[in-house]
Amino acid sequence: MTYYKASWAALGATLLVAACGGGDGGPKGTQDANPARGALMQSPPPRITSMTAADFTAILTVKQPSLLQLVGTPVCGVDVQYLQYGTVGAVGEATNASGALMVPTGSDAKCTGARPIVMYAHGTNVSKRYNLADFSDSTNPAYGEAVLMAALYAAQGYVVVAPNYAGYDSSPLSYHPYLNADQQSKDMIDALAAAKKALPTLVNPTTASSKLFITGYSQGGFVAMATHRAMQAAGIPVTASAPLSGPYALAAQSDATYYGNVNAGGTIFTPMIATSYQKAYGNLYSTPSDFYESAYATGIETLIPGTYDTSTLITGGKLPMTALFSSTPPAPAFAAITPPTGTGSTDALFAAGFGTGNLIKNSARLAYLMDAMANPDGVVPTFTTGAPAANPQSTLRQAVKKNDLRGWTPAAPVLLCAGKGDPTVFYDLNTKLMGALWVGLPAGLVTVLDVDSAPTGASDPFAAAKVGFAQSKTATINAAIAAGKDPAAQVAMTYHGGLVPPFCNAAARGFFSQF
Amino acid sequence: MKYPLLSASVAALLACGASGSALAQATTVKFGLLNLEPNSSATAISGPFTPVDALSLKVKSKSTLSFNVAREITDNWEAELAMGLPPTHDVAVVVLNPAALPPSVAAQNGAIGAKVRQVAPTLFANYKFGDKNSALRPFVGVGINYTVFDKADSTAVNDAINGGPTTLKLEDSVGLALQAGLTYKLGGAWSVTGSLATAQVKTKLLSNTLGIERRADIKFSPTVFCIALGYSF
Repeated sequence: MTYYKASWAALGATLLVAACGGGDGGPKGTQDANPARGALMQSPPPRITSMTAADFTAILTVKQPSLLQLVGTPVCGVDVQYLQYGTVGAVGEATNASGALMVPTGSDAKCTGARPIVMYAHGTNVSKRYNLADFSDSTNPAYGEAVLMAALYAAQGYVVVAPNYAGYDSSPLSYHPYLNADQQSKDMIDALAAAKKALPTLVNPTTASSKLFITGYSQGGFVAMATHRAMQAAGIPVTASAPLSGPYALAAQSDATYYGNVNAGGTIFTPMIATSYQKAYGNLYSTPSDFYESAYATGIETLIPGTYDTSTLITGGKLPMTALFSSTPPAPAFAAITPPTGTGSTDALFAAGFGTGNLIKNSARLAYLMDAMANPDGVVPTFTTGAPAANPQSTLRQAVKKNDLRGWTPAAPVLLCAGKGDPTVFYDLNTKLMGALWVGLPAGLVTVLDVDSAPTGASDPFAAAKVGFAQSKTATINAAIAAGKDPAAQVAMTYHGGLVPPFCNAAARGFFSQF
Repeated sequence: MKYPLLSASVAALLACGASGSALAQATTVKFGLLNLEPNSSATAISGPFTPVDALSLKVKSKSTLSFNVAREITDNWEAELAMGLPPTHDVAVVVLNPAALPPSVAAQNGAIGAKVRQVAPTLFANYKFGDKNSALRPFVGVGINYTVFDKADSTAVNDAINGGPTTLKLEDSVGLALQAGLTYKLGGAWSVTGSLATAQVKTKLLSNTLGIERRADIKFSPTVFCIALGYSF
């Protein structure tokens, strides 16, 4: 009977052959694995979440009632898309990056028709998995900023373009060009170009109006200003920008740090800056151990962005918590700034920047300081010209000067918002300084807002932001007292990353809404 | 002999036809109806941009036409190839954790997210109880099932949940199959058979929504009830 089995097998085989030809499981749409600048890698981009205005209101009511109160009830639904686009690295190498494209949905007049675009540049983050499009994971380090952007802008009728930056999420770039004004503005411009290509292809096709706003917080404040400058230079119309709490006068902020005014988060920012500029210019050091103490030098160039968060970077011994510099002066002449004293309320902050187990070698600090003294910045240590050093010799000082945003003049309105007590990005050296440098510009072109100040009167357009900030700060103090903690330390800890952002962002929206 | 395999199978078919009258009732063809309840269990769908343990799926039952060929080997043993018109099953969306999902997605619990067609030829060795000439003969069978999901289409509901046009792919499965049944001779060459069968079927679902790959493992312990009219020759 074996031949019958053979014939059945043949029959079965025929059936199977006929059955082939199903889908191969590949993606639909069009793909581009090697996208040019501003080209989409996947068109249309996938939608990650879709919320009606009522859905989003319900989510905010439960999870973030204070945010809901601050930004108002959503008028529009929000569709969030995951954007992947071509851009470049610090030396012009082709790469790609990802981000979020949020669009308003729904039938309200504020949500239909041609919508204004807001570009949002995010703040410093150490985790590579940072992804502003990932609304499915509330533990994603980008989640808070993503919800804020959706609630503040998309739910009120704005299209939001928010890149994760090259080096983050799915970007194959092996480093992040942190505070690189040229690369980061290109990244923003490329994300915008890709977003504009994507808008008509979305599940809810969207049309952009000609209004273009740029904002961002902290690192993103710097990126927002750099992008405004770059777009203005390229002839791309910008309606208005609102850089928030950014280190615009980067060379001044950097000099202040080496003079001992170590900011909160200095042990995170310093290696991010050094790695970025080493990758861009290649001349900061021969090996990382020229710059970093040996306990930290190995692997530091790939540490951030990486698998750690700010807490595990410290607990894992990858970076010291606050000791940026040695408590031993690099030379006897610098004893008075190791650490500086007599600065009032910032003495404790600066003192924390020094200790044993420090990150930066004394030899590197000494070389920096010697150049800073020989070729001083026009603001630090004392105000002279207001401009960066004319001819710095330190390669690190040359790098921060190259990325310093002093020296340009906006042609479109700018709101600079920050808080004067910011222990991370110093207000006087950045926000206040830029305002002072632009003081002669036509009225209304530059607005400087210190949310940590009293309303100027009934007509103060930013009274709500100031009052809200004050209430939030008071609540932090009261909570610290109730918990038996040092209120000043608690305020300092949350000031830059928690207290200021909602109010400066809300002020930015108010500022944009007048155009 | 340029095509020895083809020649062999042609020879086999000829032998089958030639031997039909010599070995009376040695071959039975059966046409009937079957209902396939997949009893599927699937892991939660996982992948990027996917809330953990929030969504799964359930494959629904389907009836179709069956076609079997059985060949007696001895008085008590037969070999049987079970086939049928490939059924297309509805696949329902299962919401495991509505709180982790946007309300528009959570509301889709039970909606049809996909349509999946399977081709599942199964080869059984059956043992038939009782005398060869008995009118009623129970039988049990053990065999091997080969399942191919040859068509898998995402619905508009699934596209909306996933965030765009979605393609689906399911892996082939090979596994043990069992059946039990009764054959009743109606007279002459005709008989009627009722059977209940099951098989081990495991597959991996791969879903691709504009580049976002999501996965789930699906196990089936199907219950296949079949009633068929047989003709022996």
